[in-house]
Amino acid sequence: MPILETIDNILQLIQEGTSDYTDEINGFACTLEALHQSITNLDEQKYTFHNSFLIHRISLPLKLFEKLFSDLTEARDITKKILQNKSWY
Amino acid sequence: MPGSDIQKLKTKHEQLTHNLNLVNVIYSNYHGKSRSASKSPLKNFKSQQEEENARAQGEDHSDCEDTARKKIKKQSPLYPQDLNQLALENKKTDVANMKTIPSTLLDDFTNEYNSLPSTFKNTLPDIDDENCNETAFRFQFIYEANLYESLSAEDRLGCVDTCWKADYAEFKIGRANFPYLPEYLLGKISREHATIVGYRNRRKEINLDEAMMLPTPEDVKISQTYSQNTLLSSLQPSLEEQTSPMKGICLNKPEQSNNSMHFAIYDDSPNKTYVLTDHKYGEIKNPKERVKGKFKVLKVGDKMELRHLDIVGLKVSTETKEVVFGFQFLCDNL
Repeated sequence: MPILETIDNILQLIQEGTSDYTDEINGFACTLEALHQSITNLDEQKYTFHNSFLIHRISLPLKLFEKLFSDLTEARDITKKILQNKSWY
Repeated sequence: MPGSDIQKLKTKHEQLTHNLNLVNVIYSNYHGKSRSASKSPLKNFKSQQEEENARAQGEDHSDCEDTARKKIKKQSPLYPQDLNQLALENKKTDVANMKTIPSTLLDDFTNEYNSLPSTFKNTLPDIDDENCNETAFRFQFIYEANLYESLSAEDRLGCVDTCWKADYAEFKIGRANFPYLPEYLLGKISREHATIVGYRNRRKEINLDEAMMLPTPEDVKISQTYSQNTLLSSLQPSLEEQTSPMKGICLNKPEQSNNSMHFAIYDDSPNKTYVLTDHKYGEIKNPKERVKGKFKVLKVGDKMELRHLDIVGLKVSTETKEVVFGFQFLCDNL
């Protein structure tokens, strides 16, 4: 699941959508950035684990991946909506 | 209403923060293991993909995880510096605090790890292994072309190195080592399929020297003769070399040194293991090399000495008599 791509997408929306960040948007962007970093770190670790035969047995639990992706997709839609409304003002 | 959207965003923000904590807990769980993995006897375990990357940099892989790995290297400048800094700080969040988060997801992860078969866990490097710096032997994997193509780039294992632990090296080949293989092939690899062991006697040369210092009755005679023929001996190979029972050993010291390393394969599987020696292939560079020949078939309890360049087939096609999956055994100049 393209979690990293979705995070990038939301961050890009925020960056392009407004130069006047509200506290909520700014905090949300910070969390997304941290999440991006953590996932990439984990992804690299998975690759290292592959080298000791483990990647197929120990990976980020699928449930968490699914939930994360679902939350991100919803968050992206909400962000879009907020930014669209903001552009009306 | 914008207000309700902001509220929804706040809720999502909280959920994502929770997810972030879970990811960080999992990362911290991996981290300890992976550090030792990177210094393990399997430290030189390379996927085919890595080797290909080394050979042809910039080769495009469409795989999702590849993309992610490239992203890490690229360090996208898209985001403000303060966000990156915050991300790094977040990464350092107190692990102890995060572990207190109750989560069935985390339990799933822990259970998954705990449920690993013991043989599988044995492939995890020990802390003691971190000091490994001498490679005992290497497996260079060989695949049937169709099998190779069916595997993802990441699963195309290139080689596995096993290091000496003092003067002993061992690698247990089992199904759990190759979970990425298709079912039909996994079925042919036993849980404990074969074991490859190596041992060396680094003291052998010293012992030989010591042994040579002990005069045998014959040596005494030689010694007497030697003293009468000093000039002669300086012009031709010494009498000692010609007549000593150590003849050959003494003269071939370097060869003896090589011979002090021995490797053997023990078959533990009713599925049999196939070994091809004295073949025409030399050192195989192409993982899709079609390898066929007169294989020695090892059955449960059988063992045989393994030498540099020998080819071990874990699965050999009954029709074509070619290796479907196996490896070449390398132990020289590693």
